[in-house]
Order: sequence, then structure tokens, then C-alpha cells
Amino acid sequence: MQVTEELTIKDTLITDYELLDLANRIVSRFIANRYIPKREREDVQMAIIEKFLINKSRIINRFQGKSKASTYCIAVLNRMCLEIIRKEIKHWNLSEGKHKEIREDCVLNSEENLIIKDEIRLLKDIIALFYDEKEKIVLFLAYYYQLNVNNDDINNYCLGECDNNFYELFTINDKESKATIFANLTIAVNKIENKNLKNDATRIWLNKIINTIISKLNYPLNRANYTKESLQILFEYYYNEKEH
Amino acid sequence: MDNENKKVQHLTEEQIAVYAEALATDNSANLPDDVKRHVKECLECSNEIQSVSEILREKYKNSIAEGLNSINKRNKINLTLWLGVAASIAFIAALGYFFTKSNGVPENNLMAVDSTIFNSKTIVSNKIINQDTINNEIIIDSEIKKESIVNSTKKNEILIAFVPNKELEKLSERYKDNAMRGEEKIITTSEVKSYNTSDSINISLNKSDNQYLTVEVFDNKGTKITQLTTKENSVELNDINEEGLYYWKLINEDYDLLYCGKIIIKD
Repeated sequence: MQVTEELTIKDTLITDYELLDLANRIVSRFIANRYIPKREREDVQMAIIEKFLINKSRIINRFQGKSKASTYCIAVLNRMCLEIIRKEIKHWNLSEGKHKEIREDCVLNSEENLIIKDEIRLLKDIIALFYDEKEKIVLFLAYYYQLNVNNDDINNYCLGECDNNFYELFTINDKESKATIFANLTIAVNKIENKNLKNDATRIWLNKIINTIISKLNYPLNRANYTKESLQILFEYYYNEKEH
Repeated sequence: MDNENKKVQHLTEEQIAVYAEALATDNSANLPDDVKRHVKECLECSNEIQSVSEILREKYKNSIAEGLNSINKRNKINLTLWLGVAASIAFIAALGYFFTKSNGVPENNLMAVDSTIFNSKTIVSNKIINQDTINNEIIIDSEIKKESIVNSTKKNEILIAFVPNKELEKLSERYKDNAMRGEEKIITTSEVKSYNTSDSINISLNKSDNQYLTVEVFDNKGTKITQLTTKENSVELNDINEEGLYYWKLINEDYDLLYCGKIIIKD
């Protein structure tokens, strides 16, 4: 009797209808991001559903209830889908749509606007995944790229520890040299984090962060081709959007 | 060299799910530091978290009502609280055992132990309820943040105002057949009342005694909007002018919940 009850509870982890719905969402997202060609939709969808059903008891047993069951299933299906993409990508002809016609007009159409919006959201998520460092990263990048730094971002970093001199550090008077930028950032770190760093350490840290963000933006399968320059443009979009 | 050969331990699917929920609700305070460090560096895991949270957002956009508030409550009650509960129960049981073993223990001592057990159980259950309330507030708060990002248009805002509150829905369901406590049916108002924004809301009571009753009104996010205390047989509420789904609770002088009903305001 107990076993039956346990099985009933565990079987409700996901219904067949939900499974189909989630698989559809996941595959659609990969199609929208051009990892999977449209024509492969049904095959990939069926492949991940089949894999899920074959491994269902193992998947259920591994679930400890720390997250919502449907989120766990999304994570499982998403990983399965990534495995299929890694395996099959060479066989898929992804050339269609990859080389877009270069237009001469500078006005963005609605599709391009949507793509930019998605990229900004991706950058926002990537920054959020730095957790306790995210406020510092937003502030430092904004200043590094010489954007008008918002006082809220300074406050988020210093958590009320800052005086007027501290705000002055992030005021952009003229086009400042990289040396001055790193010198000011170092003063900020040393004051707020009670450290004794040299300018070089701040420069190395920020470069490492920029490289990590670029790698994450380009991951997986070189989905994009971000460089330091294009990251700067994307960050400007992100920062301006955040302001409004 | 060993370190180089060591295989990177990626997050499990469940950890990915937990992190994705935290990212989607902008709530990462309770995540362990070592895993946070891994996510900062690991392309694969951070990409998976981002993908899952994106799907979550998309999913909620289509079915806001489902929300994240159905995440297993048991995970929300923190471990230390349970340890504390277990320790206090063990301590009290040991005390009880000690007293019963002693010779010539006066009966009222045993009663005292009983009452200690009762009190500690009450405290424990109250703590659990408080913990649940706090967690609900956190979830509601993060849902509001999330919803404000996703739904900025007025139309969607109105739509959100009609999303049922899971907890209050359950509560009002329990009072569907009117009175819960006592014999008399205090409420003569129907369980769901509909009004226009310009109407004033009238709740009729059927009181036989002279005691004060309190009416509390909540919005669909569970936030208290207004509170009125009355001795009369009806209450008029004028503070609610916006369209949406509201809930009201009737509480007596002893803080017993007598009733929970719903009010729908729609033009």
C-alpha cells in the first residue's frame, strides 16, 4: 500500500501532456536561437521525449524536491536537448539564415530589435549569475566604458559606505585615460572591500570578467561572435535600458 | 597535474533547476557559495541555468497563475528550524521521562510537563506558520518584481489583478458552506460578491451578540488593503476602487477566523 502511494506521488512529477509541452518549449527555443533547423523539430522533440520516458524512473529517483518538479524536468530535457545538438550539429545544415544579407540602411527592423532585446536579456542573466559580484561588475563596466554612472549603482556597490568623494570617483569629467580609470576603480575597491590592491590587479580582474562574459555570450557552439568592442555596445544598450 | 586531470563536476539537473528559479525570481540569497563560484566560471552550467530560467519566464508569461508559489513548501522551512524542533521535543521527552520515573511526583508536576509540551508544540507550530508566511512574502515579492518586468502594459496589469491567490483561494474554499466556527451562520453575504469600481462594498453580518468583529481585505497578492472593526450587522468598504480580485476575512475578538470570502471588482 505504501509502495503504491509512493509511486503515485512520484508519477505525478510530470504528466505526458506537460512533458510534451515542455519538450516543445525547449526545442522551440533552440530553433529560435538557430541551433536546431526547423525541419528537425519533430525528430528532436520525439528524441528527447523518448529519452526522458526511457530514463523516467532514474530521473524521478534523482529528484529530491529542492526545486519545482516542472523546473527540474525542464533542466533534464534541456540537457538532453543539448546532448543531441552536440551530437547532430555536424549533420545539420545550419548554413541557412546564418549569413544574413548585409543591409545598407541603419534602421533596425522589428526582428532585429527583438534579437537585440534577447541579447540584452542574456547579458542581464549572465551578469546576474555573478551573484554577489554583480553590482560591482555593473558599476565597474559602466565606468570603464565611460557611461554616465547612476548613483544607485554606486550605492548598490558601497552599501551606504560612500561619501561625496566616493561619488566623485565615478564622475566622468572628460575622456579619461585607461590608467586613470583603473586608478579610480582601485581606490574604490580598496575603500569598499578594505583591500590594498594595485591598479594592475584591478585591470586583470576586470579583463577576466570581460573575457568570461564574452565566453558566456558566445557559448554554446560559438552561437555568437562577441568581441570586446561588441560587448561594449551591448553593455551600453543594457545600461541605458536599465536606466529607464 | 592531478588537478588538471580532475574531471570538472558540473551541477546536477536539480541544482540547475534551483539556480534557474533563483535567477528567474531574482533571489539568490540562499544559494551555497561554492556552487555560486562554479556557476561564475562554468560556461556550460551558467548557460543551462540561463536557458532554463528563460523557459521558465516564457512559461509564466503564458500562465501567470501557476507562478512559482507552488514550490514545495517543505523546502522553505529551513533546516535549522527543524533541528531546533527535534532537539526541543527530545529534551521535553527526556524531561517527561525523568519526572515519571521519580517516585512521589505530584500530579500537577506531570501536568506542568504536559503543558510545557503543549506550549512548546504551539510555539513550534506558530514558528512554522510564521516561517511559511515569511517565505510566502518572499515569493510574492519576487513574483511582483518578475511580473513587473514581464507585464508592463495596463491590460496585463488588470489581468494580473484577477489572478487567484492560491493560499486565500484554499481558505475561502473552506468557508464555502458559510460558518466554520460555532453553530450560527454569521455571514449572510454570498461567498463571491461582484461590484463595479464605483460601487461601495457592503458585507452583511448576522450577529446575535454584541461583540466586535474585524473585517480585513486583501488583494490577490495577499497584501492587506484595509481593515475595519464593527459592532453592527453590516460593513461598508469604500477604499477599494481598482478592478481586481480581493479576499476578505472576518475575525472575532479572540482572533478566531470566522470567514473568508471573495470580492470581484470589475467594470
